[in-house]
Amino acid sequence: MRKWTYILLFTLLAGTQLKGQDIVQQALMHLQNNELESAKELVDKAIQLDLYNQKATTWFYYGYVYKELYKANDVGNINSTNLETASNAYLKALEMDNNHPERNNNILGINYLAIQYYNIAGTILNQATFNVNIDTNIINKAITNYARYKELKKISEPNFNNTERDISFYYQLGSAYHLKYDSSKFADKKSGKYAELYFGKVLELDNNNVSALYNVGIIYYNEAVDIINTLDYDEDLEKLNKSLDYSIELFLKALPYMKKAYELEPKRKETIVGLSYIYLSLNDNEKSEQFRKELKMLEANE
Amino acid sequence: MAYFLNWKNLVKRIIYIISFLTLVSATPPQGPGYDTNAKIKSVFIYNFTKYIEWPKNYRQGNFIVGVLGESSLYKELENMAKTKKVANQDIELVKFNDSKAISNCHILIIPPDRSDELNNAIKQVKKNSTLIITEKEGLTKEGAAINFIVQTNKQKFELSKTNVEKYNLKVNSSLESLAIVVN
Repeated sequence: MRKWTYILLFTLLAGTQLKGQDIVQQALMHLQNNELESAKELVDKAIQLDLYNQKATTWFYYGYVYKELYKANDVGNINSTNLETASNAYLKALEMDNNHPERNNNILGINYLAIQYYNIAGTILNQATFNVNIDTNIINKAITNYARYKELKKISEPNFNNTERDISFYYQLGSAYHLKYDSSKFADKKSGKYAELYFGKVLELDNNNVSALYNVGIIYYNEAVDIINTLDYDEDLEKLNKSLDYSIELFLKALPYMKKAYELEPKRKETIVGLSYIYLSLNDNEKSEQFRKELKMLEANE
Repeated sequence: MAYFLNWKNLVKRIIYIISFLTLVSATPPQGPGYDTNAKIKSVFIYNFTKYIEWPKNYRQGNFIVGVLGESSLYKELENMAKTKKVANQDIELVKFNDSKAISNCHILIIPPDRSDELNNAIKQVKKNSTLIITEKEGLTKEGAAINFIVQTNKQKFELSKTNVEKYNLKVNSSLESLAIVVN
């Protein structure tokens, strides 16, 4: 066991006000000997007894043992119950007594666990951004883990500014759902709506986020194209008329996002292609051609 | 006491955080690349075959759709020809490189860049029952039966009943109600 853990355990043992063969004290001694399972059995027992469970420090030690179990067995495990038990116990300790003797360690422990939740959310989303077949329940786990990260971080570092992390998180969520939507050839409308929602959240936090602007534009564009692409040649003219109206509405919705992305990054090729096709779909051939030429010039200068 | 903050953990943490952030600039999954207008016009064209009646002797053999020169519609029309029929007739797509080469067909499509050949095309089909479709403003006045136009971003079509009937074709009134009727 690491040097710091020894120091901590020493401090904890010295700091405990319990006497003799106190169960919690015993648990900590087992922990010191790296006997995690025995330590767990003892804290599990202690937490059931009123003699112990009325004390904030017991909950802290209980959380501490589970945190060690998590570190030993579960780091990176998205289904870790040890992580959940540890964080609940740490929170309970603070809730019972916000000034208990181990408060500082309690806060540090919460911060450690917050980072674990953050990492789990990140790991899931990193996978989801490249794996179209990832289950939405797994993506939802990223959402709950990230929410838990924020809840704990608010306690461990109340003034921490999460904006950058929120932007990254929502962007990756949007990308994960966008990938699912695209890979379903736009049949998975629910994923399309989620992608739109999360890219929208990115833009609420950073309205000049070029990638999010482009993606929202593309989602509307693809939705409109899909309406037309899936039309049967047999389609009744009246229905065709309605489909056209709706697709135009979507192309017009896509346009300001793509235009803003272009204004912010005029040399980004996919945005120029996007504008060219949106204008083409809006039957504005002149503007479509203008962007097509711009793309050619850009490619010629590469 | 920062007991969890050993260097190994710290580096691991930083790597996680970095991997979370780098994907912000990742290229989006799919971009555009589809000509929606070609599909829309093809759906219109197939509908015209349902609302326009050709003489009896045109209702046998293949249903011929002629295109003058290169057209952005061609690929969609090919797809239509493969998957649809006009009543019992198979659809056959024919490309005419020159207006003088235009032969008997049920529908003749004149793309915008070949609009100046409309008069020649009319001369070629004047004794036939051919529905002439153009794609440039004002061409119903020059003899086209149906002319695709754009109004407030939307694909629409003008219908000249006179020009349709000149070729011994009959227009169903339902089509008139959906068209911009010109004379």
